[in-house]
Amino acid sequence: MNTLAKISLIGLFAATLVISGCRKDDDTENEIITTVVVHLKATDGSLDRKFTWNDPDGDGGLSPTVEDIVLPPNREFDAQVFFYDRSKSPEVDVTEEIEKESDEHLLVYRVNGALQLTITPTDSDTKGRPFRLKTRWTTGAPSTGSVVITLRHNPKKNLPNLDNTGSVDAEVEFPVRIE
Amino acid sequence: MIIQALRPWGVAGFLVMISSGLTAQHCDITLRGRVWNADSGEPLPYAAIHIVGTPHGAISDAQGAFSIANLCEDSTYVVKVSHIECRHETQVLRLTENKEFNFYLHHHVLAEIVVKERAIAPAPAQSVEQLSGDQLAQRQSGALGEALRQLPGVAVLNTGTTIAKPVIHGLHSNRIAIVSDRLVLEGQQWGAEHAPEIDLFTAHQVSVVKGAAGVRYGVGAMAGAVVLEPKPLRSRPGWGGWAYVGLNSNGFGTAMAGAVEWKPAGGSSFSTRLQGTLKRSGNLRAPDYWLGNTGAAEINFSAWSEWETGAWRHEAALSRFAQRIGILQAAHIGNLTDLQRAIESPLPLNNDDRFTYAIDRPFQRIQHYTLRHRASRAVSDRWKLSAQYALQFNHREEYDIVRRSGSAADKPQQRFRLWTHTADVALEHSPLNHWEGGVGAQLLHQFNLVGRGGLIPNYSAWGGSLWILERWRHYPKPWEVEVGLRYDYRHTAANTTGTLYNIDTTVHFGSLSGNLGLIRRMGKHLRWTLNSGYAWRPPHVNELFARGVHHGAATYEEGRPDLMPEKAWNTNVSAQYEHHRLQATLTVFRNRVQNFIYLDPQRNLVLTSRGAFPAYFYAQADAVLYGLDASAALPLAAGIVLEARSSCLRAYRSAHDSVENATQHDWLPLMPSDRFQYGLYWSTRGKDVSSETSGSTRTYARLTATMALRQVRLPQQGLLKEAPPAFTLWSFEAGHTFSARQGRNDYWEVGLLVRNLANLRYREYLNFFRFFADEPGLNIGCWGKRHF
Repeated sequence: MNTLAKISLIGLFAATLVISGCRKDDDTENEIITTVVVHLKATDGSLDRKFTWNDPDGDGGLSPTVEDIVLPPNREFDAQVFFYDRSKSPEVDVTEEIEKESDEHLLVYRVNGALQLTITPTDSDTKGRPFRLKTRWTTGAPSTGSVVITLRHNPKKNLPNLDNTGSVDAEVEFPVRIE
Repeated sequence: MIIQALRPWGVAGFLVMISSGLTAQHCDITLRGRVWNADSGEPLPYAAIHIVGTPHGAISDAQGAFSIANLCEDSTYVVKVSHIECRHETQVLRLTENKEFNFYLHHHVLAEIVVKERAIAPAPAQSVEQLSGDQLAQRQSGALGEALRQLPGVAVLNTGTTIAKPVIHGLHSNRIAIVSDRLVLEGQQWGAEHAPEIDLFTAHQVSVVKGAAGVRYGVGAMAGAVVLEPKPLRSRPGWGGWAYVGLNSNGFGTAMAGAVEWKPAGGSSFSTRLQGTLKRSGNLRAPDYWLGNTGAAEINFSAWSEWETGAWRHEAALSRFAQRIGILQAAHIGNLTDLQRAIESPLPLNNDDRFTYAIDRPFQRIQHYTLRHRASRAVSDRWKLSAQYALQFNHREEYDIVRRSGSAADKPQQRFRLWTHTADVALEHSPLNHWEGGVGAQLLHQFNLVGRGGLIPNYSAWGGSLWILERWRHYPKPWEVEVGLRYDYRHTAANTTGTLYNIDTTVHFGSLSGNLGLIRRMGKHLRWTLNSGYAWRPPHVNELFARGVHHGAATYEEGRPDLMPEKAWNTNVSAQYEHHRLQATLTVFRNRVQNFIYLDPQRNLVLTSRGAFPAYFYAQADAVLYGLDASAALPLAAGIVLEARSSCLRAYRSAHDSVENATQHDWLPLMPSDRFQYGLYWSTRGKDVSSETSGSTRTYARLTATMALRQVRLPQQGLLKEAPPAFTLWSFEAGHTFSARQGRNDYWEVGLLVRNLANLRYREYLNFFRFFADEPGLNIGCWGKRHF
């Protein structure tokens, strides 16, 4: 059955071409958040500053650089958090995506230490549930501590205790001084 | 009986045991015996036993048994034992009461029906465990790792319920080779969550070679090999095949598979087989909840043909393996805090607690293609030349839970594509001065393309090897000796472009592997094997250059570009006792690995934009793994056999204590705990006769308890110290074989397999997802296979 043998050989060579022919490089690009910026604007106009948590080389390698947030006591600030991917050139503003899909995201703030700071949300997502990209920061007496900002993805916003649901997309800690 | 005629003659010799008859009266002796496959211990049917110059003769039956009556005491007979695929053997023997004779039949080198892992015929001198017949048929619809779980010395490394990797004597991944159809599987085996791309329906027999097998299977086989052998193609003209349907209660899984075989009439040398598999299952259920996103789907296909052109014999094969497997959603964690909460929670967090067939993120999509052509011919009546070219393409995509939906919704987060070309040449010979074996060479080229931002860089590698493997045996001496030597060279160029972390470097490694095996038969029941092998493995690209957070484990891992190759000295001694009153095997092993590569926990945390992660850097130290495997089968009463198996392992590395400036031992992580298995087997035909014995009715049942102790030998460092408690699992299996139509080769096999009979809530130490969820609960599986 030599014809059969030949047919199967030809078939196999054709398959080789199919298998090895598709060596095109369509790179998969991973999206990462390298940079978190907190923009604080005092309601009385006395302060307008951006504080940056920055790790442009991604996980590992060089340690991230973190700016200390220094705020005057007994004031109110409008705060917004921005997220960037600075591993790419030009940098990618991830905040836009997060805002667009606000119902799938949630920001969580944790104040550590003796810091006299309260953070209250000033926004909500497209379904009227917590989102907290924009907040109001109220400082008290001079004190020091830190604020941990967590971006959560797919949180269960219908639960009463929603702060620990979903998975973590970003979690950064800023040292804060009120003086 | 086509099925019987197609048995894999994977041996060069057959041991014939003849025990002489009952009475001592003149010419009233019955010569009784059984013909066995010397290496596997399986019976050999259809061997012709003929007493030259007399009309006396017999054919061995399905159990290899025969008897020739009316022979005379104290007479000299010339007994000729022959088989279609073997050289016949003639032996002069003198019958007196209870005297036994050993025969060695040598496989005919030109017959080329042999299906054997490397073309080299003798079975490995290492300790070997086999899965075939009923045991394999019961597990064919599952994953390779799960099917091997019950063999002594073999454990399974799980990532959830859907990913299972075989572990031989504590080692896995790049330290063992998986050989399917004479081809070493080249997938992305470096990852602990990368399961081997194997469809068990293509296998007729699975052997696990325990111990350094680098000479036979290359640098991957440092700790052993899993060898899958297909059923040989039809040797008689006509049609044949089988169809399989299986159902599982847990996950409402279905498996369908089938094969069609054809050999044209008219003396053609062509023979072919097409085989296909379909599998689908939904979320599995642990005793208390559904395991969200643990569905799986698989579509596999393979084709295999052989034919002759002149003196050449050709074999061509093509296969495709495609799988989509869901990964437990509850195991997706963003950072260490998440992990700690997940560990503390008694129920899985973020669990999609319902049944569905849908597979959502995170999931893996894997495809593996194999293309193989082999040509062989006799160059003289003792020498055979063979050449093989194979192409493998492995395509692995990992879809994680992503922050962005929208444009990235259908894109994978990790993607690896690996092309492997291998070319093999071997020159083998049948016995020359009682030595048989061969020499060979291999060339390999690999190209791995990783999407940008991947865990490992792109690399291209080439390698070559030269080997020689010879086995000495000389009837009737009870000794056999195996010696092997191999040199391997690997050159790897790794590079990444356009990422944060730039690598552009080449590394190359070369080393010898060697093997020495001794086999000693003592009497007809006891066989001793000693095997000592030296094998090595170059560090893999991930160990050299990996950099990133390992999700699921919540660890930051970093490779070390200056790692040295691992070198293992592996010795095992094994005793095999086969008697109709008792069958027992004991294997004791010690594996000393120089420069053992492991993940070393660091004291500091690595700060990332998702919080802090404990850091693990790849490091090297000398390690020792030792232990024992034992198994026994003891017939109790008619058809009832008591079975017991156990595997024990100790594994440590030398750790340097900088405070006391002394070397001490630290246990290696993720080593299987001691395991004991015991149970009862009942069959209408005694001990596990292979399902080969078609055409006749047969029933069996087996009840097994598996006890796994708690792993108490844990490394000192590392965050996740607790190992799950000990547990005992019960399982039950039963099968029935019967003819579909009288006098035909059509027959049915039906089976029942019940796992976790008591619906026990338990967790396995060797499962990476032990922090998140329980193992699956009760599963009742039933299947039917029709052979035609």
